Amino acid sequence: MEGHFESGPAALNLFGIPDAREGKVKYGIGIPGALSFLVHSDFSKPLPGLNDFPEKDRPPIMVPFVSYHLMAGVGGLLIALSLLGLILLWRGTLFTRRWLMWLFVGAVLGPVVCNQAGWVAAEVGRQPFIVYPKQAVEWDGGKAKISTSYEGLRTDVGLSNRRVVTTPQVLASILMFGFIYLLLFVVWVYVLNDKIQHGPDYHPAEPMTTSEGLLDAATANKPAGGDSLTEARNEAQVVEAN
Amino acid sequence: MEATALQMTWFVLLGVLMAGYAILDGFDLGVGILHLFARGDQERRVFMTSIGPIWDGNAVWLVVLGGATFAAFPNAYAAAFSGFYLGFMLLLCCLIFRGVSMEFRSKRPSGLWRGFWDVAFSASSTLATFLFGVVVGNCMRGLPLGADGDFTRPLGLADLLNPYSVLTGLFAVSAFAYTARTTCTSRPRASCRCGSRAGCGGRSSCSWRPTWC
Repeated sequence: MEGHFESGPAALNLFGIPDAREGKVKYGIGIPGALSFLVHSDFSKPLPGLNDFPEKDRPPIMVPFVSYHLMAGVGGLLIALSLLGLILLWRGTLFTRRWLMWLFVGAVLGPVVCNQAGWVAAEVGRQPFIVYPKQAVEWDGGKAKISTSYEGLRTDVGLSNRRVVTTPQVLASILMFGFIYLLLFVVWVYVLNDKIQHGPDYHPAEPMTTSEGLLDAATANKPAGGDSLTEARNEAQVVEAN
Repeated sequence: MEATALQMTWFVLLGVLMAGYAILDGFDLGVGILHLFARGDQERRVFMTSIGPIWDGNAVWLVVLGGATFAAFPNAYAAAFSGFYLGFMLLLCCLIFRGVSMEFRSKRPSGLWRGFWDVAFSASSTLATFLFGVVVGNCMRGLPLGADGDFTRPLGLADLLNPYSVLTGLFAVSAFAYTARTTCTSRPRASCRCGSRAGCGGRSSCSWRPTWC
């Protein structure tokens, strides 16, 4: 996800364009060693790079890199936007800024984008495995030696039997789900808009349901013999005994 | 091939799960099947709210059934979920529409809106039940299992809907509707009470009113 090709201390990129053929991140701006710090709490500790793994075990690099950074970036923007809103609320000028209100309306899409992008990063990033192999790293000078104790399962063995589940069937199910989600989206927007147009309900408090009224009602039924129910019961027993 | 004690236990457990699902969710699927026979908005609302708090709990039996099959008999799971791909996808579609129509129906007062979700609710409940019956019918009739444990060919709708399976499907629909009808009428006093609380009188509709409000 960070396009870390050469073994060694790894950077945390703000953005960049990973190039698998040249084996480096182009136009990248990042914090050197920050990824090593996240893993080992040490900026100078080396991490094994993609180049030390066999080519057939490497995931496609572009999609996870871009989608992961999209997720983290949009998430950061949303946090910044919330903080900005908080500061303006504190200063009492939040609701006078129309442009910011529109920005907040658009920001509703942000978490959805994060969700989808993060999902894509996870699913593409785990390729070509459906069950990950168990691997250990041994350092030989600056070079990482990967030893595999469990081979894992590759994605192509996890596929359904193509004799049974055919391409048109899969296409049909994708179309079906696409249609359902499209329909639900339209309905959802319609109902949501309806709710927003309607606004919240105001329930004016009725006299007897206010706390004062309730207290009056409770004390009006006070049992004879004071506030305590035990005393009241004792009195009742005395009455029965008589 | 000899079955181990563990396999036998799981086989029995799966039977228990399937029976539990048929009894419990059979009731609320049946309420869905009968939904269009209920007259008037009030009565239909009582129908839906009667299963509102329990239907998703009952559906968990189906989820557990699927999960247990996956864990206990992975080969059977793979064969069934691949072989019945289209049928299961249609079933999923029905179950989605069932849940959604219960959520959305009350959101707007318009008759067209409610009518649409009423039909969606009833049709999806009926089709889901029918598909359960069709799958069971096909299992009893025999499946084209190959030597590798998978089906030898994909089962299209034309294969699934043979006369025998259509009959078992219709049987499932009538059985679930029957369950719902008897459960609804078995406690008329409770039904009437909750009916009067909802503010609608009339003895004729009392017998229709389900028990849990």
